[in-house]
Amino acid sequence: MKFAPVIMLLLGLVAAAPGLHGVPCALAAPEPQPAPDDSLMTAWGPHPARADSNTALPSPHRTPAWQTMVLVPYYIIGVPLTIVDKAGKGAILGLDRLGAFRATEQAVGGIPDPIGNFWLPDLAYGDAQGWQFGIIGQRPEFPLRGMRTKLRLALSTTDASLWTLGSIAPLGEQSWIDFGGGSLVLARTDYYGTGQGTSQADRSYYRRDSDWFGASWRQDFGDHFEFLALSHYSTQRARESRYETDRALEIVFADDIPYGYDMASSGLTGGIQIGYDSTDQTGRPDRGTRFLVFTQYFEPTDDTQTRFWTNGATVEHYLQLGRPQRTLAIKGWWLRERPLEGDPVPFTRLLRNRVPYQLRSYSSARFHATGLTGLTAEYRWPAWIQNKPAGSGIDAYVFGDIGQPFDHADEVALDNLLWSAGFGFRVINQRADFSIKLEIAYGDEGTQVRVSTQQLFQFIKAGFYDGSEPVPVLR
Amino acid sequence: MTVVNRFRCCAERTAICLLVVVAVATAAAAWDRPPLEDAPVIWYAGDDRQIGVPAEYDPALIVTEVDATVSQPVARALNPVRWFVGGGPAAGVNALDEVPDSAWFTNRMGLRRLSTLELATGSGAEGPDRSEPWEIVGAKTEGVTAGFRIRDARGQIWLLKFDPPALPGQSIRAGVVSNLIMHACGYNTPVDRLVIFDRDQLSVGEGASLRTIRGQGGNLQLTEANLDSVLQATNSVFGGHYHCLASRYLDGEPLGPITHRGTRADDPNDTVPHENRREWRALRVFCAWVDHIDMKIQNSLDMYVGEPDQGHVRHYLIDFASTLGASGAEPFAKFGYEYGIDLWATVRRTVTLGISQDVWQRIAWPEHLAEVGYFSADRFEPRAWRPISPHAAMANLDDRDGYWAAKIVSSFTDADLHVLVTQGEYQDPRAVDYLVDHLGRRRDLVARAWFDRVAPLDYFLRDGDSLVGRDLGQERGLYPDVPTSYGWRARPVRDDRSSALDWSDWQTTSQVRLDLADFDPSFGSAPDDHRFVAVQWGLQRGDRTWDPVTVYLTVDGARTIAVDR
Repeated sequence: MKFAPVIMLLLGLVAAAPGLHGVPCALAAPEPQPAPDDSLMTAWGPHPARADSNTALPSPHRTPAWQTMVLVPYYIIGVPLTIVDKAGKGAILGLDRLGAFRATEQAVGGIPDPIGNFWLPDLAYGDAQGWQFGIIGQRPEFPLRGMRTKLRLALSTTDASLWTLGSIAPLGEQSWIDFGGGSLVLARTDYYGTGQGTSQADRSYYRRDSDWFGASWRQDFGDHFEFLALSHYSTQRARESRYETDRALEIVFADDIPYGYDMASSGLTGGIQIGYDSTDQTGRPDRGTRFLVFTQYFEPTDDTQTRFWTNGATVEHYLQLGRPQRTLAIKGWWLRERPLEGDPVPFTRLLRNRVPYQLRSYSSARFHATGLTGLTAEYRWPAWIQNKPAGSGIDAYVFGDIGQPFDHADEVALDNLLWSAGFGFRVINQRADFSIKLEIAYGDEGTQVRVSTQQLFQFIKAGFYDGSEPVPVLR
Repeated sequence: MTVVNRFRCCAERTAICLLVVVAVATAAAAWDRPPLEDAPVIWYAGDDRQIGVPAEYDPALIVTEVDATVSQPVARALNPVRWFVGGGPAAGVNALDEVPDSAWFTNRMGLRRLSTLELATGSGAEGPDRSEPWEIVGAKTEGVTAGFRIRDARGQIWLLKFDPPALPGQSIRAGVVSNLIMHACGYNTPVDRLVIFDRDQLSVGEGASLRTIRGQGGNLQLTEANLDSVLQATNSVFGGHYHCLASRYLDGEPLGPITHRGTRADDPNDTVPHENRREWRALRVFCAWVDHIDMKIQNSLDMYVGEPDQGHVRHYLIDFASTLGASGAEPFAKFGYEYGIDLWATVRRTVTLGISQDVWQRIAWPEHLAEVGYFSADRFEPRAWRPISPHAAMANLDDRDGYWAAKIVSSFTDADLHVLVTQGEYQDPRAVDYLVDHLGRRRDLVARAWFDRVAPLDYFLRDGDSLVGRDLGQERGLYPDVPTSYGWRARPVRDDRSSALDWSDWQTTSQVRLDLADFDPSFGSAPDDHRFVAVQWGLQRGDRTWDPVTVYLTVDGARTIAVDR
């Protein structure tokens, strides 16, 4: 091994070389290390500097085989739900871009169009008209500054149609005038006879056409009192319906055809009403009283001699039950038509069981009479609260109604009273106004389900501007 | 076979199938642990690898809210796997059940103590440069409150946000304080500072406008002439000076909000579905603490940091204005207790005819403190807390996630909270006292809520010849005057945590400390594949016993390599 010294020398040089460059070799004494920085001292000891050994991109959990097996049917069943979900979101996005969800934040509700109108859908279900679909268009500052105009168009699944056009204009700080007209065609509506004691088995059908135009002037006095004067011209026609002709009125009531059938009744109505309202005048009062008395006179303009007065009174009272927004709302009404000498009142102008004088388990056309009385109590409470109890949301309610139609006051008796009970949900919008309700009512004659933008209490959507039919009474 | 018998047979088969599924699911959940290995603990996620610039994601707010409120809750309710194992365990945690540092999260409080300076600084101590007037360059485009964008002398863009005029000082101060708290907890946040300025600090740039409160007229064109009245209308004047929140635009390229679930397909570093990320699931605990109700995805933001193709995505929480009881235009007591659309609360109110009163309707707004909203510890239930919209990741929160977050929350001392709250520059010292008091009490409630479910025995380290852990519940004063005892037992285990040997007998101690010399001598005869030692720690306080915590050590007891809870 004559080369051994050379090899040893080379190895020694290699071993020493790092030291020549300032890098400590393995055999060299370790340099003193600085004390660990306190800021890197953790509850698990010194926090190590980042290195490959302590760094790893996290990986998701592997899905176990049993989960995959369970999820396969879940995903298959989920396909139609996913399609519905995507379609729903697309529709919502489209409505949002149209401004639909900002509508309730505005003074005039609705989706704005490029020429300054605001549009809202109008949806209802119930009674003989089935589903009703429509639109409501509003135009502020039209036709004159300070005025507002509303157009309603609606169709129903039972071939009913409605159009109304009305305007409202302020005449001062506490005075308004509204005017307008409309036409309502009920291609198939119900008739069961007149007065109390009619039978559900006598259901018959006819077609009813209503046209009207008129104006009202309202003057408020102070915070609580109001005076309203109104006048309108109206025509009512009743004739055979094209639907369900085997149950046509003239067949079912062949021996007792009501006066006003197969004829038109036209005439002028004038009236006044006085009101008192100590509620907060929103769609969700929880205290206060409303009181209304009115009288109207009808003068025919056709060949008949039908003349009659219609008088009525309603009272509503709201009680807060323990906590805000838990409210007991009570309403009573008494309405009476008093014919003068001459022809009787055509059945198309008789009082009917319709909003806001409704026994809710009965169809809106169930009763025709010269008198109506009723009492309803509704307990309301917030079910869904958007932000705060007094704000927008959905109120639930349960209710009970009693009442009856009558032609003579002595017919009003406990034994003749009809009843309804049920529950529902009311949507309260951003302006704390009532928007729409879903209601289920049960009574002697079965169940009524209604979706409606009208309510029995605080019937504020009445008038020529709002397009409510003024026959037999405006509200 | 009669109809009755057929029905019975069918019911029995269904019941057996369900039992099998439950058994398999339970077993699968129990075994969802990585094998033990004698390797350094993973403390870095390494999700900052260079990637190309991902596409911007800009969903419509209403669609994401419908998705969060309706679609995702329905999908979760119908998912049969969730019926058995819930959301499953969080992914992306290390062997010690901690969250590594990542583009999402950096370990700060909890794992270590931040100094007073670090707490007060957060993402950045300085507001906009005041050496020259701030140039107003545009309107604030998101949210409900008024504000505009400015450029300072350094060329940085800041968003100046004001309070609703009816509630001056409420949300801007809450925004600053909660930003600092969430930063100290470990999240990435922008620089949000309370700035106090005078009119001459502002100049109106070309085309500048002001975002007015939503629904009140849109943007208002700004001029030097109308700026005074515009500033006065914000009602943010305190002691003759304007106060607002200045939020610095984040560095990098904005990529849009962070989805509550799934991953970003064009980010290869985004490997764990967001609903399974512990730090995202545990947001529910942190947000409950500070009442951060507005956790919609638009209050988070992905930023691409770095040059194109050389950067990566960093994930931020932004906008903390709806915290500490403040809420956009108007504070509401409901939020924090119910979702915006909360099916169960609605059903409860409906079927009880409204007689069942909501907890939140009994909360009083401290009206004597104008700068504080509906924020209270009095009726705070941490586990029942809810943001305005359901959150897919928060919905997956499990006990381990909750415990992990609670030990971070409980690490803040009252002094820490005082430092953080004073950064909000509250004008009424009683507001500072109130918030420190209620934050402290809420902190303790959060900690108790989760420490009651998971034994708070943690941080097991070798100390000389002993293995020493910490009882965080006792250390943080959450169980005063409750007699506490600990017990341990041990045995060698294989990599998969199984063992051929029985546990040693339970040894009772008064401290979370064991002398490694006390191990059962039979360990010496353990098979060779039993390379680790498992030590189970039990906890008893008063009459209450917790499920034990299992600590895995190298066979010589030198190092803690894993913890199972």
